[in-house]
Amino acid sequence: MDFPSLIPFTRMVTRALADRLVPTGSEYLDMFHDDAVFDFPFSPGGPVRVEGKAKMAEFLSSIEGGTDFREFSLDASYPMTGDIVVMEYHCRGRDAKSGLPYPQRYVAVLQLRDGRLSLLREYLNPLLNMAITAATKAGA
Amino acid sequence: MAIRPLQDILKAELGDLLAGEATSFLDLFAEHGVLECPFAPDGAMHQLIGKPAIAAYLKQLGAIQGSGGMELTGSYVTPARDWHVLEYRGLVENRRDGTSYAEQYLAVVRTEDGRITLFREYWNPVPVVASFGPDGPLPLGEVA
Repeated sequence: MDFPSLIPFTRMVTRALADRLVPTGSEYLDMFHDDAVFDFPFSPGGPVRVEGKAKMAEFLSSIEGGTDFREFSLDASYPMTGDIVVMEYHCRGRDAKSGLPYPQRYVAVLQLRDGRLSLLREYLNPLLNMAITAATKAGA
Repeated sequence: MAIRPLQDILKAELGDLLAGEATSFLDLFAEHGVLECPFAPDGAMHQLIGKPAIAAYLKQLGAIQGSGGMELTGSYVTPARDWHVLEYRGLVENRRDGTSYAEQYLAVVRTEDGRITLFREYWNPVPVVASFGPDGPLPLGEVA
């Protein structure tokens, strides 16, 4: 499954995790186990939790192309006990529809199991998404 | 899981990394400690440097906003035990109108020499803005 907008994120994570991550390919979903859990507690429309790669592919298909993330920058990476890694990062993206800047900041909890991710819980600031939606509606 | 004051959760999770005599959340901070809120609205506090600034801000905030305690949902630590990340959730009380909302948190916590030197708390600004207005409970212009 091909999600070009997720290439920058995939690049950042694979570089940050180095030889702890052995993806099955170069795509975003190749970093994950089939039964991986994807959790987005601060998602703009309310918390989103997706169980399994197949369902995540459907979710990603529905949002692919909405944001040009451009580049993800790793601010800090904290390798924890119990195969957990916490990462703080940001992107300097652009909302595809409006062209408005999307400078989002994130903190994520990742869990590794046998070289692939079994959990991604990613927090972001939904006020940014809401401001873009409001500006777009107002015809800005 | 039990609902406890945040300082009790921190003491339980950080254990011997914290010097024993602290009794309040503020007491856990080093004199040069830093409190950060990265997801705060633009017109609200994002960073407080030093215990006096943190003390003054928390005192002012306490009249406007209260906590019913937190439930710990995740606790992670580096092998060297210098950084903790805690996930927790709880109800926040708007003391102006008596209403409450549910909030979820992730805190990045650095400890050095028995005290917290960085407490970076990520929380969802949407329910905060819905309850208190676009700049949250304590807009920058009103910080003493």
